[in-house]
Amino acid sequence: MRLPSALGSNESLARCLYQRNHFKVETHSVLPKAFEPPSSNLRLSVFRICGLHIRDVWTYLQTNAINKMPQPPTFYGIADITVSVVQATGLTVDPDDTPPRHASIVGWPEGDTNKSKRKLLSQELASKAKLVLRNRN
Amino acid sequence: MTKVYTPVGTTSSLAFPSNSGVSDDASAVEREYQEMLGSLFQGQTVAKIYRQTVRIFNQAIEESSFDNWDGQGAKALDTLAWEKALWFSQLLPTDVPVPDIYVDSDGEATFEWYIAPLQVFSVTVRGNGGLVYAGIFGENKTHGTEHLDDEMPAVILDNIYRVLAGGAYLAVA
Repeated sequence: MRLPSALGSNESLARCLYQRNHFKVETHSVLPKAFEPPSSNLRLSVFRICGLHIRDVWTYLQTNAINKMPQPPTFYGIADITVSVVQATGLTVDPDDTPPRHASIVGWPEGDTNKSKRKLLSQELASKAKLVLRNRN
Repeated sequence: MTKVYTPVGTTSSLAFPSNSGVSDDASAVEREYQEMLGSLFQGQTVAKIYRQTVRIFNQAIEESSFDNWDGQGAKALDTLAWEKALWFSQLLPTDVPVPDIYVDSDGEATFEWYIAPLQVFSVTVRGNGGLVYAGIFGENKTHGTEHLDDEMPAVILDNIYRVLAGGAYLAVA
């Protein structure tokens, strides 16, 4: 299914969790590190998952995100966050669609002096995200 | 209201000022201090955070010493930042619980006290001695930068105790 290029505000975005310190099982929550943007380009990779059954989410992300990494890590689950939550922080979502369904959270304050602002934004996003672990579905 | 966490001091009793002396006596004092510190760190209860920092640092040397170690464009481990992080960990009072410690996407050392989604405080130690911090305490938020010196900046300690107190409050609620 080809998605419309315009994002819906209630649309779900999935951030892949592939490090053990991306989430906390005890509190069933997503940790800020999961939403830390790469310093090289400040584009945080997410996938648009609307219209997909959760089973297909795992298959799609395993193929198009995890297996594309140089050394494919363990795929623990996703942080599920809506477009409106991202936009409420002042960040925006760029639906670049490369690969299909891919998008990037952009608009992070740039530069060394703004690192504390980026940390706070990562904490805010994590606090609003829903943890969905792979082995529980 | 009962205060659950009360800071025991502005910094750890294990902290020692940077030794700028060059005489034989100054060197001897520093050597003795390092030996004393070494024996203290063998203990079970003292400097848990320091020991955990050393453990994560050693692990990171093996796993994160090259660019893109996370497959998402992270920078290689910043050894200088982690050396500063060892000092940072020594300055923390011994009643502070061990935080999550990890390498961030800049290769720097992050210490994070995570209680709940809206009760979190983290500090990243940089190679230049900068302490970049951010935190959420319920409806309140903070962020900023301090400089690591011979003593732990008060704002860092205040925020650590603030997040811990909030956590204890959540636990009894």
